[in-house]
Amino acid sequence: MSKSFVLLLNNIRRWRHDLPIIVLIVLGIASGFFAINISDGYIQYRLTSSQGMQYTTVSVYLDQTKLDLGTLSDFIEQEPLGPVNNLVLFTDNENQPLILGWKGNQIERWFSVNSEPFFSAEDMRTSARKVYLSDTLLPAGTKDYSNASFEINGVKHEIIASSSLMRYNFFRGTALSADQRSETGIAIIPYSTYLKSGLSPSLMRIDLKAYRPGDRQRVHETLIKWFGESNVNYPMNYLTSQLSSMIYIYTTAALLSVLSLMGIVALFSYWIETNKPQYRVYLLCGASTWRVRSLILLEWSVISFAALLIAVSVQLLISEPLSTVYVYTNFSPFRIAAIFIGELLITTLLLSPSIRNGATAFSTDLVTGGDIQ
Amino acid sequence: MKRLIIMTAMYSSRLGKECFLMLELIVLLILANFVLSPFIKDLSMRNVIMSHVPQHAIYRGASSSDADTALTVERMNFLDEQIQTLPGLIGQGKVSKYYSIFGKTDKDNVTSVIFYNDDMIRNTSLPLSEGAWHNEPGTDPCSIYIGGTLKEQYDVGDPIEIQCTFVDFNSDGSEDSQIKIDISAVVAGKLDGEDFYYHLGTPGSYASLRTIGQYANDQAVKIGENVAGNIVIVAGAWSLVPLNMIAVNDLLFFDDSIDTVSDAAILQEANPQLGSFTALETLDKNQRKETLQSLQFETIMLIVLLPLTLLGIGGYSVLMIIRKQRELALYHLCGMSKRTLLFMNIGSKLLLIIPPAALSLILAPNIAVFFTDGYTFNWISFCLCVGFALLVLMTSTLLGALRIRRMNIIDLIRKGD
Repeated sequence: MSKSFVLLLNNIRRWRHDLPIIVLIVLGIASGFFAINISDGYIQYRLTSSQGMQYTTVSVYLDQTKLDLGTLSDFIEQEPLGPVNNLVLFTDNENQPLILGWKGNQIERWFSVNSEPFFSAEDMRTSARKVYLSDTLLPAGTKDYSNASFEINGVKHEIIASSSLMRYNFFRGTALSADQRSETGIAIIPYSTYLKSGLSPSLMRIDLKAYRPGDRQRVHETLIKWFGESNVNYPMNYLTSQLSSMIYIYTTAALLSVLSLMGIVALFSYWIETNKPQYRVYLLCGASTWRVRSLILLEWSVISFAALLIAVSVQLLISEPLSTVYVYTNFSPFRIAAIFIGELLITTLLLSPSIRNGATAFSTDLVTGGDIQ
Repeated sequence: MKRLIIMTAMYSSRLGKECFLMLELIVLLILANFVLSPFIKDLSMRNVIMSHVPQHAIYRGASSSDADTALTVERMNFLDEQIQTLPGLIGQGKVSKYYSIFGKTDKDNVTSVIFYNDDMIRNTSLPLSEGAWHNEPGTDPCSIYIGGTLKEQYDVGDPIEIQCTFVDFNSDGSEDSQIKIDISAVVAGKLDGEDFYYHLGTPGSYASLRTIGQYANDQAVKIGENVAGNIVIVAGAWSLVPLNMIAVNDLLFFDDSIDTVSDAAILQEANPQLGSFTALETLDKNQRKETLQSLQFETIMLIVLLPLTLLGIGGYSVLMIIRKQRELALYHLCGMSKRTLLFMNIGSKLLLIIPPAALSLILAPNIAVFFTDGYTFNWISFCLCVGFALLVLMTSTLLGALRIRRMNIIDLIRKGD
């Protein structure tokens, strides 16, 4: 066994004499690891969830006199813009309900539903005669939807649910505004049913995932290819709205990481300083500087590994009570290992002056009995 | 002076450890202030509303059809007539749609202007730093209350000229219509603190206390030009507000015969055409739930900061004093009492908080400029953070001193030899 390991084992046995101090140091370093793990986990969660929310809605104003419904149907089926989260076709005639043909299931972006059902993939595939209504269109006295129906173009559609749909939510970000004043209500049907009914849309809105500068040109070219020079409304870059909260989160997480690293470095440099007399005795007895430095590094590794185990255990223990406010827990062993190694390297780098200093022999101090500082 | 010299003598020779501790404290104070400030703000909003709105108040959110469309005069009158028939009603508080009205005063270019009707003034109030709310606004149709930088430009009693531009926007952000009104009035009061005001929410928003109240600074960036968060409240003069600028929600005030929580449900059942009814207590309960959900990140940060401060900074501080045990034993042998030693130690630690507190006081508001999402520097949270850091330093010093106290003085000298 390497001599450094033998010295390490001897030292570990000796640590029990200074148990409160070693416990304090290990717990302090554990709190640093815990803080970095948690903030890393939250940032990962925010990035993932905000990517999920980073839709962009492209509005295509369609000329109903020139529109070929076959081409539109192919466009919807083939999804040439890539997978769409929602695609909504609008028919908004004066004094008539606003009729929306819906594809996709990310409805939360447009309106909130509680536990009401929405259209299944099967409904969309089979052009089911089903409708989701705004409250204002619900026939008077309707409480049980099972036998209720609503007519669109003279055809009865089964009412699956209703809620307080607001026209504003559907027209937000478009250039169509005056029509919003209508009080005629909203009826949502599957897009396939919509197309089958022969309805002609004046507006198509598509929720695309992510929207980066290069995407705009690609989307524009694709739309020209399919619909000619359409009047298309592109949204602003979504990053603008995300930026503010992300700056806050990154700054706070960065400050927390700095604080954690400073705490770790402070506590371990204290450890080195306390044990300096002992390292000097090793040096006086003939140990090489390299041997003492490797011993300090080994001690540092043992202490930080113990701290990491405590940090991860605490993280596991509090994950359940915290679940109401903290939905992401960073328990990927690979990620935790990566963070641990990263932290170990950074702190070792920051501690290198202390390690170098601890492994330097000033033999005269010991011989003359000088104060050890 | 002698004690101060001894206190400073307790620091390490090159102040390396103390500087490191102070750096940690700077980061801690800035960080803790960032994460605590939103909670304090929420709490102060709650306190303002709960102490300045009568308990027998019910928030009425417009029905979806009314919220979705521009109300006609007939519809608005019909709704008002229906509301007036509600049993026990003593007032119907209304405000203008705050986000649509921009004003120019004679001393400032951009100001948000909000109109309160007589009932709103009579039944609610807000903390004022100067002046008083007029209990009978009818006698003084245009009392003006000011916030933001306007507070520095006008005194109570000063005449004020405001040109209000009522702008109705289309959903794409373009202007739909514009009406200009000039108001000449007198400054009757100045909003206190961070300029809190009632705005009665937007249609469809979740009914919590935030639906009723708003800080001027939270809107500063959203309004864009109004970075100073200036706000002008016009009390009375309700007839000046165009119909399409009146918020469709209102705050209904009832007499003592009403038990708002149960009666809100009864009102909801009996008058579904009027919208949704939510009692003040329910708004408060919703707010607490919403705070935990919306301040998820801040909650986690606080949970993480606690052990980090206690063990990281506190632990380091304990170790620093333990390391000085020989030096302290020498002071004791030279005649210093243990009590004085303890005070010297605590004093030397407390001195360390001054530079970090001063620096973080300068840095925190400057860093916060980049957080445009409603974060403003908050004195209460800053003081709480400094207090907490002091407590940790003091406790850790006491713990370190207690450990030394239990040891024999000779052992302290001998230790390490």
